[in-house]
Amino acid sequence: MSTPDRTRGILAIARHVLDRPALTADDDLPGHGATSLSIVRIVAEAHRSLGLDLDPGAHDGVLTVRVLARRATVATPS
Amino acid sequence: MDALAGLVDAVRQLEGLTAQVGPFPLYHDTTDRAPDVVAAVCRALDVPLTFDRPMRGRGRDYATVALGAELKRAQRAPELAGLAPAEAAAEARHRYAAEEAGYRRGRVRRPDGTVLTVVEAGPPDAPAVVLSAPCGMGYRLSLPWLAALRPAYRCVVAEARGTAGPIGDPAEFDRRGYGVEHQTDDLLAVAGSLGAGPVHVMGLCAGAAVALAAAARRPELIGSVSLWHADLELGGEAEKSDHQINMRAMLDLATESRDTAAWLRGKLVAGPLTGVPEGVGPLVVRPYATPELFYRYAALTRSTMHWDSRPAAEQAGRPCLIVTSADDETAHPAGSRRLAALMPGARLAVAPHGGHLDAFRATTDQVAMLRTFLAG
Repeated sequence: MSTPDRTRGILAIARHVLDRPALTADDDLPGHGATSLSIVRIVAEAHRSLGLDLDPGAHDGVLTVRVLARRATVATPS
Repeated sequence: MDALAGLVDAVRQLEGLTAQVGPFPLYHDTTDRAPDVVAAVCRALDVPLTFDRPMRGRGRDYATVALGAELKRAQRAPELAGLAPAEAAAEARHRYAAEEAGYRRGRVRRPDGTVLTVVEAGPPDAPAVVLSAPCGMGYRLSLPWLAALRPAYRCVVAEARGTAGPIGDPAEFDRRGYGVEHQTDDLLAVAGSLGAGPVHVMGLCAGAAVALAAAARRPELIGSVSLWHADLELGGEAEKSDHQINMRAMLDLATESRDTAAWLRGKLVAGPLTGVPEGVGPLVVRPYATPELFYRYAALTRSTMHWDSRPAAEQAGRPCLIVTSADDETAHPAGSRRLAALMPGARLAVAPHGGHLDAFRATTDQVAMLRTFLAG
């Protein structure tokens, strides 16, 4: 999966989880209402439906869909 | 609260954690101002904290950061800087003894081998109030209620099964069960152990489901119920908060297996935890301290979040006080309103403002409201 595809897929999940249809890939997620719980939901859903392992850790103070997509790796099958 | 009292409280907020998992490592910078005083207080209170947790990868385990936050704040008080460790230890022991003098501890043994830890206060022959608190956060979160009610009531709180005492064999927790029916049996066993006749049960947020189920199951033992900022499943007519929706989704996954719980926990604590309250953060974060504690919290709490409380609400038939606030963003107040509609005669009190943790504050107004209800 290409990085743009990853970005689109994660963005769709984030929009749904956060109920923010206008969220963009460069919006700071905590700044748009994301909490620890909603971020972990995004991570879990990306793992389940996209097969991606996201790293939601601190990223120089900014956490966006694009950052998540750039750092995503293919999930190890469990 | 003076500086040492704050430090003692911060350390004691972690005693339930170390009682379960043994020595627990916090980060070195947790004690950046008064390491010797903190170490002395930990030894005096027999809370085996260490301050040598290694960094993991690029970042920290933010549950551990939150667990140490109150301690870090407390040890920065300027008054502690000149205190000798031995003096701090002696004073900590004195304060520990003074607090413990206000409470009694006991155990209730269950047929499946579970041992419930019980903390109580107040005259043994006074009318009894039993608290049904959320799982895994420890009895200390409920202490304001015990302190406020003990002059006139025998007030009791039990720790949920599997959330107090050494972990032991993790699989035993699964074998013994963790559903609402098990938790309800535990609450009824604690109420029955008092030998005091009908008791009043306070259900606090996630503990409300168990309180209601107990009242429906044994109305002769539960004389009345009060539910504070209740987090209940009441069907589609009761709107849920984002927090409730996200929490339930996370717990659904976490209970798939211990491996899944550990993976989820790792993702959750990879960044700063949002919504951790000041003052009681270590208690609220304790369920996230280790993968096993998180798994147990998920199993116990998922059970209550999925438990349909409508039948119990309709069957309980006991006087009921329902308290919430209009802007509780954790447990949506629509749940309390729906519950009141399901329980004829229930008294509903909705404060215009207030956070979810108001359920544990035992403010003067809250205590007066409860006492008026109990007197009626």
